[in-house]
Amino acid sequence: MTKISSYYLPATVREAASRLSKPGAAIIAGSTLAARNLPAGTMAAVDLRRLPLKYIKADAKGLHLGACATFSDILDSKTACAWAGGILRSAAFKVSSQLIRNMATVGGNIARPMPYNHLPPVFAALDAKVLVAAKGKTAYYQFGELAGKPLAGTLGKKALIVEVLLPAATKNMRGVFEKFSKAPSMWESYALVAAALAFKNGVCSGAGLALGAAVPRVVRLAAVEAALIGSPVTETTAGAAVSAAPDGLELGAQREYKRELLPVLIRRAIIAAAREDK
Amino acid sequence: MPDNKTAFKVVNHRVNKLDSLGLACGTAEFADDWNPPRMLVGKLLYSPHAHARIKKIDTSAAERVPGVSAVLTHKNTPRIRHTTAGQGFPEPSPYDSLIFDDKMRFVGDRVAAVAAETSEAAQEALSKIKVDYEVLPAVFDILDAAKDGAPVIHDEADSKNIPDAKHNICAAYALDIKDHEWYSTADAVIEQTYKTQYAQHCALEPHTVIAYFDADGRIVLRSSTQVPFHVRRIVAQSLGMEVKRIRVIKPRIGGGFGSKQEVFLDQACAALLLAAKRPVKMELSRREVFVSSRTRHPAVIHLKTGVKKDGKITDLDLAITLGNGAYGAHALTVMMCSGSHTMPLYQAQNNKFTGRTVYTNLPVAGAYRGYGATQGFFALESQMDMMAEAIGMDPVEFRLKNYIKQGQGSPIFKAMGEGREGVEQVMQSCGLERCIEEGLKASGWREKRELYKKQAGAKRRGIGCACLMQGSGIPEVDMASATIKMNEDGSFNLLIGAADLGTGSDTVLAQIAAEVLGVRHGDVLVYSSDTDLTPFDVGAYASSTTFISGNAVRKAAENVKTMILSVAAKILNEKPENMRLEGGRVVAASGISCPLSEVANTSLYYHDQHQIIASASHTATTSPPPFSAHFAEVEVDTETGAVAVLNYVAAVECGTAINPALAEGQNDGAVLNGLSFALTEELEFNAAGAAKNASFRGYKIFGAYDTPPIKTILLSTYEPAGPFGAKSVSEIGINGPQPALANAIYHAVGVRLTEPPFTPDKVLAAIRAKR
Amino acid sequence: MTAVRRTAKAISLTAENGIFRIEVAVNGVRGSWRVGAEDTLLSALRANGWKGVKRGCDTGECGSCTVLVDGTPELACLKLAVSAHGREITTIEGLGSPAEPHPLQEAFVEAGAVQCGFCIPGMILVSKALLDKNPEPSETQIRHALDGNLCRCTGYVKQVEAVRLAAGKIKNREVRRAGQ
Repeated sequence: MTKISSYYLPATVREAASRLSKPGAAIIAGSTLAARNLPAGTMAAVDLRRLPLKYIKADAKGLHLGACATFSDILDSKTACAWAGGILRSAAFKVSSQLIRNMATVGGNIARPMPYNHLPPVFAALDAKVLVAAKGKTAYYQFGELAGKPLAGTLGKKALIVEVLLPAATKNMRGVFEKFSKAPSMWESYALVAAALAFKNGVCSGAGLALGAAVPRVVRLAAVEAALIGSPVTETTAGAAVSAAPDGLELGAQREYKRELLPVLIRRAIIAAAREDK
Repeated sequence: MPDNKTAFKVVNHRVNKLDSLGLACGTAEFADDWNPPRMLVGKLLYSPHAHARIKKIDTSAAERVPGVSAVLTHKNTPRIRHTTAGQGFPEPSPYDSLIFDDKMRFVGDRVAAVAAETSEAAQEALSKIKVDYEVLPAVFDILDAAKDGAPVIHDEADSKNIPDAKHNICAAYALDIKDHEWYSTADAVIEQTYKTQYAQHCALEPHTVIAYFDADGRIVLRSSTQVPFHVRRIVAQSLGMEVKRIRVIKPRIGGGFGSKQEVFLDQACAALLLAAKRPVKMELSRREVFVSSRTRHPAVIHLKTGVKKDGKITDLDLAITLGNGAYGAHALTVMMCSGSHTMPLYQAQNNKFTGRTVYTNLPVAGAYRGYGATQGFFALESQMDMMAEAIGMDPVEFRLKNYIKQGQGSPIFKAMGEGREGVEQVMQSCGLERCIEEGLKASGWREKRELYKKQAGAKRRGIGCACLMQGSGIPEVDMASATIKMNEDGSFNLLIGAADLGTGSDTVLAQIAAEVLGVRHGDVLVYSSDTDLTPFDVGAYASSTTFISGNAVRKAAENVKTMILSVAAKILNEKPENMRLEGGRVVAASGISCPLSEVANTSLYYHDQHQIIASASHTATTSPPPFSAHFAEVEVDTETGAVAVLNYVAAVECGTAINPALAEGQNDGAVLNGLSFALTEELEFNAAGAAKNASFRGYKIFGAYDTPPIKTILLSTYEPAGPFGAKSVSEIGINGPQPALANAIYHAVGVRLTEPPFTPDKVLAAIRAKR
Repeated sequence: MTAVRRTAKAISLTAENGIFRIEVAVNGVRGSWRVGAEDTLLSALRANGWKGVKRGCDTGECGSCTVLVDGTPELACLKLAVSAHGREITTIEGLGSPAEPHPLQEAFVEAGAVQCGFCIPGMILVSKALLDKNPEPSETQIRHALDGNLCRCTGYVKQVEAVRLAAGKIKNREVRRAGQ
């Protein structure tokens, strides 16, 4: 671990961003990872707990999740639990430990690319936007594009996640979050699937499908999504859409098994999402 | 025969465990909850190589780190070969270990130790120890290790009791009881190989030892151990000093399950104390517990059996190879138990057992709940179902036709003990049939066997069973003793060597004493596991505490009772044979009585003053097994390979349950451990022999949300050789889930899994292979 | 001497020779701690005498180090000690004692849910937070709340019963109190 010489508890995002812009600073949010893995050379820890970022509120733009809201906060929020057919609720519920649900934050869950984290596939599937404060500028970035930006490497260090916004259009989508692991209370899962579907007159009009854990970085299954749109969702159409999934996924360990498993999980997630009676 | 329910006042009652309240309030003290003043922190340096000689080791830079008081290596510690296995002396395990060796035999073997003011200083010192290794070829596969040409792991001249070091064989045993020509009477012959995996105990409290000098310069070890007396002896032996220089105290322990039936940390800590001349604490990290404490023996079992159409098992040939890892602790005994605690369950006419335990360059295996029977039963109980199918018989009916009944014995009992010959015994208590009956009812076996014959869809259900036995202590080897003294208010001090590792043995033994003495269990003040103050006990293993220590307590209590009655005779002017102890009083047949306090005060202060105190010891001549029947219902997802346990019923009989709540709790915990052992647990290694998943994150034990519905049904029998009819219960439950689930999965999807854990990928591959 | 500077709103703690001075309340008692920059809340609590907080893995994976931080169960081994500045920590000792046990402590004893006891302080604290929020939880809710607290002894069977038993005790206490 690194020996910090100062511990800073800002009360506003401005103070936090300002402190972060100075050298040797690093964020501690939920303290499930960062606190005991501060980058070498960190001199100041910036603890976000006093920031007014624990909100979960819906408005015309969509659902705003404050970066310091925890998984337990999500589970306590009726609005968040109802959003997009319960996809967010399910992702929060399936985090494998109550203690982690109490501590881990929305911002912390996406700040570093940890393959087993639950929120990245959900945010990818819902086309979420991330509000980031850095270098005196605060702006929204598409979640899916954030990984590619140089900004991504500074999250937690020079850049501060302020909130995640789930667009208003996703509110009434039907969504599910599936986790397939050796046992429910295991962080390391074989696969995470986030599926959100929009319907118009019984026909699928929009789809967000994202895969996590089985691959090193969250992947949107764009080809499957495209194949779903324009038809009703049935076992047949779901199966057909899934066979449009790319072969070139980097599956890492146990790839033979994952090749068999993933089409099943994705197909089942699509069917489950499409069900009205949940 | 006493009726368990009505005859006993304290025994067989669900009294509160004596230490529960202190534990629930955080006031009970575990090893690290009390530290002596000026205590140093001790840390270990581990080998990065699976097999290597230390050509040179330079600790000079480490010694100069500020705050460092001592640095130990093979160069400055005694070179006295011993075994780390906590067993009775002389231990039936190879003497192949040193405190520090100049040869490293697995990734995680011990190179050196440092004692320093702080953890950070100790870590810094470890990082500055310079080691030149000569890396040697390593062998990891347990079958390869015994072949000609495999690297020889123990090539040193000064190790003892290794049957065939050149072939890495650290234990070997064979038994052949032939009644007829092999398979000549069988209608079906089944042959199958099974492979069970490396597992770790995962007791929540890591191994911890604090070593300090008392006022007279004796070494005191405050140790999280199941075997305080073996610790004292082995530390003395490995340091080359007399036993009387050492005192071992066991505080509360946070679980052990066999991992703390081992003396590997205590001698290193004592050595640091001697070098640093200040108290030292060594507490293993969780990673160190996974890799460098002890594990369960992985095994390859080849089982060949013959069976007649009428259901009689004619031939039973079990060959097992176990992997002990780099050192041979428990090599012979675990191997023998895989046969001695399994084969007698069914009365086969021909019996053959061939066992080998081999060294590999992997973490060291040791004692783990089940102790070989776990591996043996996976094979045997899986094969029972295969045999039943071969002759078209229901698996339960088949077991009922073959199991050992009350009054029956087995030639295996006499031939095979644990590390030596066994003892002849016949079953004086056997409730297996009732366990089966209750289990059939509670699990809905008959309906479900029928119902699940025709299924459609991706998810298929099945129900499977396993029957089990274990043992109660090691006959003619294990010894326990107890001392009881009386206080003026009619309370008693019970001093026992027996080690309570969370099992509640302090309470159980207090109940036994209280039953004899006619008091409440809270009137018996228990002090246990202090080698200076409590009499000898081998310690908590082999399911021996209730059966053997319990009898010692009963005897001591009877002796105290005699002394009480002798004093009371003068007080009440009655003959001792006309008086009994009841409700804290001495009661005469005539009806007159006096309180125990009057007896105590009389003996202490008034007349013919003496302390009412007695000791007694006990060894057993038999090891009566508890019996259990397990029923598992599963749902297998044929598209993903996921196995969900829908319901698990374990009916168990342990003779009289001295404390039914504690007995149930033992069985619940054992069953759950067995379930994750069947479904998720496996310590995995990379190509260089380093553990890949040495953490709770990567090595999955079940949490509360993973736990399927488990029902323990406790039944009672009466075992005449046990205290108030008691046998044992702590181990047997862990052996059921692996075979019961394998059998249930077979029932569900027609696939026979022989290599646990039954993770989804393996299950799916097996389903695909069948198609 | 540690400098604690308050700007308009921010709190800034500075270490001297690697030591922070913080103000923290443990079990209702306010005090000052000197903590190393790398110390975890777990080691600081134990160093300050709160031995009921246990170290099972030191990596946040077993739950033995659970404490309540401002009423919420959290893992003390994952938090820096310095982060406890200005917070209220509750350990098992703050819930009750053998002389005056909390209904949860009584219930765990009566239900036979305590074997080795190492996981129990964490279990009980999490259960307290659960019952504070949800006085009559279902079995699934109990298991979900306890899913981060590992136990190798009990199979969780009697622990779930204990939480139910405690819920009943607490309810009765309140009914009785209301009736007084």
